[in-house]
Amino acid sequence: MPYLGSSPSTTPPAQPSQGALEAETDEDSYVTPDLIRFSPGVAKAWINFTGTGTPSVNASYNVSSLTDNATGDFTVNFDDDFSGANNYTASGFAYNGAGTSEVMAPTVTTSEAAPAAGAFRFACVFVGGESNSDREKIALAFHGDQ
Amino acid sequence: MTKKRICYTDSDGTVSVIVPAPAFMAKFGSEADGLAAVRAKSLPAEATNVVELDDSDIPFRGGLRNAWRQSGAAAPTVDMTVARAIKTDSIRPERNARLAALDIEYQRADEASDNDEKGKIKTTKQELRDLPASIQSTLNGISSPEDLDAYEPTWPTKS
Repeated sequence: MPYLGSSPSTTPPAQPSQGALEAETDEDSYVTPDLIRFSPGVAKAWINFTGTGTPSVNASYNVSSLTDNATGDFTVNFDDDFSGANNYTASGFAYNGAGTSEVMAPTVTTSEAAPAAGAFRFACVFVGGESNSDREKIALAFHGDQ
Repeated sequence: MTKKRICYTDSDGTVSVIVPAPAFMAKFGSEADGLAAVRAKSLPAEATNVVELDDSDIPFRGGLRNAWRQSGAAAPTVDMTVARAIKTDSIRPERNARLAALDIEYQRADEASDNDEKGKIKTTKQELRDLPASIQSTLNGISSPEDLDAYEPTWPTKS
C-alpha cells in the first residue's frame, strides 16, 4: 500500500507570494523558478568582469551594465533594484594574474559613493596600496532584499 | 555579445564608460533597444558628451586611464599633459622606497664615521628627490600613451 502521508491535505500546495517566501515561514507552498530569487539567502545579483584594458562583463545576473569610472573605480548597475540602499550587502574578490606578489584585498575596500538601491560604486585598492588600481578579474555578489 | 559602449563626461570633467552586460542585452529584441534600456538605468542626469562607441574606439588604458578626456560627443583620447602628471606621480612610491633604504645606509655610515660614504648617499638622495622634476623633459618628448606608460626612469645609484 503506497504511503499517503500522515495528514493528507484536501487542497494542493499553493505558490507563495514574494513576502511569504522572504519570511520563510509557510511550509505548505512550493517555490517556482521565477520566485527562487526572493529567498533571503539567495544572491540577488552578481557579476564577473575584466577590469583591465577595455573592461568587459564576462558573466552576470540581474546586472544591466558596468560603469568604468576611472582607474580601479567601477559601478555595478542593477537590473531589478534592491528595495533600499541599506538593504543589501556586497562581497567579492579581485585578482591580478598569476606570478604577481601583490596581496589582494578580498572584498571591496573603499566606496567612492554611497551605495544606492539601483547601483553600487566601489574602488579596488590592494592591501598596502595607496591608490585605486585596475585588476584583471573582479567578481562581486550582492545579497539583500528586493 | 555587444561591442557597444556608452561614453560620457562626468560633472568633474572625467570620462566614464558604460559596459552593457550581455545577459541584460539578451533580453531585448535589438541592440538599439538594449542600449536604450542601459542608458535609462545607468546614465547619470549630469552626463555630457554622451556617445555610443565600439569597444575598439576606447583609447589605450594602461596606467593612464584617468587621463582620458572627451572633446564633444566623440571618442575619448588620452590627454598627454594629464598623463605625464599621472606618470610622474606613479614613480613616487618607488622613489620614496629607495629614499627610505638610503636612510638606513646613511645611519650605518654615520655609526661607522664614514664621511665619504655619507657624502655619496647624500648626493644620491638628492638625485632621487629631484627625479620627478628631472624627468620632465624626457616625458615631454614622449608622444604616445603606450610609450609613456612603459617609460621607466634611470634610477640614481650610489657611485
